[in-house]
Order: sequence, then structure tokens, then C-alpha cells
Amino acid sequence: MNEIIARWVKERTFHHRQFSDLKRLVELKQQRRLKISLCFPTLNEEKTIGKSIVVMKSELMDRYPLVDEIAVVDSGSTDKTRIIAEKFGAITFAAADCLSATGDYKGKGENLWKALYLLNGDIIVYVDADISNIHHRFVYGLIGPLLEQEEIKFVKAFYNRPFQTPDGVIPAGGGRVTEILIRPLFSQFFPELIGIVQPLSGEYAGYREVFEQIPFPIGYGVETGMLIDIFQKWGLNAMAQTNLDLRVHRNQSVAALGRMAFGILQTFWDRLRCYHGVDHVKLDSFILRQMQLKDEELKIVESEIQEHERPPIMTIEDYRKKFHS
Amino acid sequence: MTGAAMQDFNSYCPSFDGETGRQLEIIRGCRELLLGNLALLAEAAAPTFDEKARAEFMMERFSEAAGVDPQTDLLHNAIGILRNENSTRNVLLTTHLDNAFDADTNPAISITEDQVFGAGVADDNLSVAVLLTLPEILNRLDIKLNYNLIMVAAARFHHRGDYEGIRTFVRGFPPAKIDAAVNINGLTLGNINYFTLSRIRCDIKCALLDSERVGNVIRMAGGSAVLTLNELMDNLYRIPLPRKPRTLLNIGMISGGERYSTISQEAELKLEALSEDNGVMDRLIDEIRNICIDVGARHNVRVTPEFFGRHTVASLSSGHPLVKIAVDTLQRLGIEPKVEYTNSQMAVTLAEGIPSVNLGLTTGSGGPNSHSHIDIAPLGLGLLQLVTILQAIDKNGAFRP
Repeated sequence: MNEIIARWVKERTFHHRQFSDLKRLVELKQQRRLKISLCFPTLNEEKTIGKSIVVMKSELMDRYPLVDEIAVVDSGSTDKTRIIAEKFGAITFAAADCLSATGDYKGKGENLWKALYLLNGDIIVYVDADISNIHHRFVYGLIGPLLEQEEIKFVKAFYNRPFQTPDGVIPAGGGRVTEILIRPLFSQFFPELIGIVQPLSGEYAGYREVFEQIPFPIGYGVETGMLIDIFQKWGLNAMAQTNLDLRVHRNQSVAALGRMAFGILQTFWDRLRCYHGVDHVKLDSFILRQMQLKDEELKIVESEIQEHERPPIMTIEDYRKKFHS
Repeated sequence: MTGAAMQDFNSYCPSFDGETGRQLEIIRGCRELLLGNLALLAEAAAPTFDEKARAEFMMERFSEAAGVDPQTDLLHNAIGILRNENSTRNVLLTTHLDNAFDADTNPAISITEDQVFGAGVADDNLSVAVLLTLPEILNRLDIKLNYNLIMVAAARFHHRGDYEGIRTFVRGFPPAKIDAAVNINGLTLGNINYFTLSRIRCDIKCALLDSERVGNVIRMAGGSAVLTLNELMDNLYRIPLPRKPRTLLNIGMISGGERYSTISQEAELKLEALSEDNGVMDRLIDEIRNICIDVGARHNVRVTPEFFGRHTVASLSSGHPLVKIAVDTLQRLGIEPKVEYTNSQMAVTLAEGIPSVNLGLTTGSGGPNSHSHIDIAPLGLGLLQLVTILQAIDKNGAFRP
């Protein structure tokens, strides 16, 4: 197993610098007659969305026509996220207004799923909108492997996260949820995926033909579910990862990470049922209970977290009409 | 545009007929390119004396721009030359590359609907971004200048850098002479500066003499670097300064002391003096030097003044063709010109006998913190002003004879 992982890491791990020749990437895109769409899923991101749109539009549309459209798919922001994004040249959509016959859920995964219907690209790039040091490498670093190696169908980002330990500094690793939850679970059930440095990173790109055939958990589990599903359907060789260097974003509290882990676990149990035939895991409750010390008294704080899941969008008739008729 | 309208650029997006209107629309179409350059260059820190990373970013950008010859030098000045092969005339378009804060300051900018926030964005990262974007703006406007445009983002402007970058460039620019210069600042659109004041900067250090540094607190109670500094400031502000020619002395920064519990060993102040008259400034420098000797002797403290950054009075006349071009341009665009002195990099070019003006690009507020901002809406006018002046500059005798 270690040999398989090591070979994949060696052959499928890139650095964004390998793809900084944007002129060449544009040529490859044009040779292959591909369209590329960039999607920012948003909810109240007015502090960072302006810079994100400006940098991507100026660098990857105005200077080098690598990206054909930039879109914001919004979960109902109450701030100026959509106004700012539109002002600087993005197309904006309210997720709730799209495919409304199929229902409406709140969550990042919902926006990513609906983006497949709303955007026109053959390659879709998803980038979180809360990155304060946004740079166009976050996009071309993900597109590069897809354009240069046709067998690669999906590329995941990872970042330098120097981590201080008693034995010194570990140059790169996952976040807390990755190291405490995801990596132990992958080690036990999907060990081939261990080489993915940051399975929960919010930036990834892939071909429409891949994304349209997998289900999308609408909440915390979207990244985990996506990795497992793509691995199962297309194999490790169709996946790659790119080091995008430093990413600066909001840090989350331990309580928030607990809620994230609770959601991810639901997606994970579902994938165990699907791919490992484990059918005896039955969830009694979708209530997460966390202990909180307030006014010297321990209180139970309850959060209801239920990971709804969107089916592969290919199963939606409106989508098939738009893209496959 | 009326004066009242000028108060609120954000709500005022003028439109013009004909060629001016067409140019303004094209310039506004370059907004994302300009702001993109601003965002990316801010990520390359450039504290004074450590501008290499930003200069390299500039070189990369200049090298990608059509028709721009990128150059740099030992000081990390970032230079891009838009050549006109049929001309031997050279016009300098300058700003400074460095920021007045260290690399620990968060460089990231934030772009809202109407403004851009971030340390250094107004002074003068915006101007640096304009240098990077100008070749594309001129290209889209289909403007070919009748001279060589030498764009210089000069290093070592702030603090003890003391304009070293631009001074070195201007004195070393071989072999042809520079015929005119335009310096640009982020703030403030409407300002036209064509004269500079006499200026000096001085760091004064107070240090206990070695013989006073030993012993316990009580025995040392007579001497203190901080107390000496206080006495020094009192004396400096007692220097009588003439109202005419106008003269100003400002103590901008002080520091000193080591702990709550110890007599301060060292203290320092940093001052700047400005005057409309070089002779007054000469006498003021002598007076400061004498006060340092006197206060030091009375407190038994070593008081050491270090003078640097001397500029002499230099100006164009208000009737100089370059000034007239700038004033006429602003008025035609509906902006009321505001004439003030400046001690921008223009002080160096003027002192070298190069006809020079200094222009602002937009409105906002400066400073080395995240509250510093520029307004986006006036930028179109600010850039149109610049392009119009650059087009007119080779006409009407604006060049150095």
C-alpha cells in the first residue's frame, strides 16, 4: 500500500510554479477547445470577495484568457457580497433561484452542485471566497495539471501549513479535523487516499464529466464525499494535488470544528455503506451535543446537523436538457 | 464639476462628450487591471531598504507588457521604459516603491464596493500600480507618445532612505538628459505641486555619559536621557520662527527609556523643519546644533544631532508651460486645481533643473494601517488627467530648454 501511495504522491503532486507560464496554459486550453469556469460559493463574504474577483478577472481573463467566466453562487448573503462581485465583473446567482423545483438547501455543497447547472465550463474550478491573500495561483495551479495531463480529471489544493511540534516544525499537514478525524478514517477504510495532504481544502478543479456524475453532500461533507466518490469511480490515477503555498483565512473555533466533524462523519458512514457494504451503522440522532462552561455552570449546547445530499446532477432532467440534449 | 461636487467623488461619475468621453470609458474599463496590480504588488513587501521583492514583481510585470523595456539597478529601483524610436526626448514618470512600514504589517488589501483599504494603499502603492497599468491603458487608447516615457518606481524614499533611489537614478541616467518629470501620488486628485520648500530632517540622540551609567538609582537621580530629551524639546520649540518666510519645526517621533525601574540611558527624537527660505533654514540648523550642545552640557548627557535630507527651495513659475498644461487639464476635466508645496520626489528632479509637477490620482486617506484607503470612483478621472498631461507634455515648450 505504501508503494502505491508513494508513487501517486511522486507522480501526482505538483507545485503551482510548474504552471506559471499562463500563455502556455491558454494555448493548451485553446488547442483542446475547452471552456473553463471559476466558481466562488459565498455567504456574507463582502470583506474578501472584491479582491478575489478583481485578481482573478485581471489576471486570468483580462491579461491571459484562461478563464471564460467567473461566477458567485450565493447562499443568501445579507451583506454586499453579490453587489461587490457584480461590480467587478462576476456573474452572480442566488442558489435558491436555481433548479428550484428540486428544492432548496443551505450549504456550500448546494452552491457547488447548482454551479454545475449555472456555469458553462468543461472544467469547473471551485475556490473559497474567504481567502485574504488570494492570488491567481489558486486557480492556475489547479487548472495546470488538468490541461497538461489528460488522464488527470480532478485536482485538489494543499497549502504550506508549518506546524510546530516538540520535535520541530512539520512543513505541511492537514488541519485539526483532517489529522484527528479524516486521516484516521482514511487509514482504516480508504488508505489509498492517505497521500492527499489536505483532503478538506476548499479549492479544487475538475472536469464537468466527473462532477456531474457524483452526489454532492450539501454541507460539511462535500469535500470528503467528493474525494471518496471520485476515487471509487475513476481511481487514484485520475486525481492529483497541487501545492499552492500559503493560504490565509479565518480560523475556526474548536466547537465549530466539532460541528464540522459531526457532519463529515455522516457523509463518511454513508460512503461506508455504499462502498464497504457496511449497513449496520444507523444514526439515532442528528443532534450534536457539546458541553459549554458558562457562568461556572456546565451546559449542553445542541446543534442539529443533518447532511442532506444532492444526487448526481446528471439525474436532473433540466440539467440533461441543458448539457446533454 | 463644481466645488461642491468635488467634495463627494464617490457619487460623482462625470461623463464627457467626444474624444474625452471615449478615453474615460476605456480607462474605466481598465479598473480591474489596475486594482489587480494593486492587490498583487501589496503582497510583495517593500519596507525602505528592502524593496527587492517588489522590484522583482515590477520587473516581471514590465517584461510582460508590450513595448516596455524593463530595467533595474543596485538600489532596486524598478524602471520600465516605453520607447519611441524616433525621439531623443525623455519624460520621467515617477513614484516611490517603498512603504513606510516594516514587513510585519499585514499587506493584504480589501476591496469594497467603492473603496480599497490597506496599509500603504494610498501612499503610494496605488501610484506604483498605475505605472504597471499605464502601458496597457495607453495601448487601449491607441496613444503613442512622442517621446521616451521612463517610468521609475524609486526605492529608498522613506525614513533614512531620503530619496536615494530617485536621486541616484536622475544623476546616473545616461547619456541623454531628462526633459520633464511628472511625479504621481495616490492622494489627492486635484493637487498640483510645482514648488518645494527648504527642508531638513534631524535625529537627535541623548545618551548618558559612560561615567553616569554605573551606580544605583538614587545616586543617578540627577541624570536621565528622557528628562534631557524633554528639556531639549522645550528649547527647540522656543526657537523663534519667522511667519514670513513661513517656517515650521515639527518633532514627529520620540522614543527612549528601557524599563519602569531604571533611569533612562538613551532617548531619541526625530524632527523635520521646513521653510520657504534657504537662509532661514541654514540659521535654524545652527540654532538646533547650539541647543544640543547647551542642553547636553547642562545635563551632563551626550546630545548628538544628525542632520540629513536637506532639500533646497525649488520651483517652476505658475506660468511655466508644464504647470499651465496641468492646470488647464484639470480645469477641462472639471476639477478645481489646488496648488500646494510638496516634498515628494519632485524635490529631487526640480533641484536638478528638470521641469516637474506632482499630481494626485484619487481621494482617500493615507497611513501605514488597514484604515488607509482610496476611493475607486475618482480613479478614472485621475488617470484621464495623467494621460492627457502626458499627451500634451511634448507640446507648448514644457520641456527643459
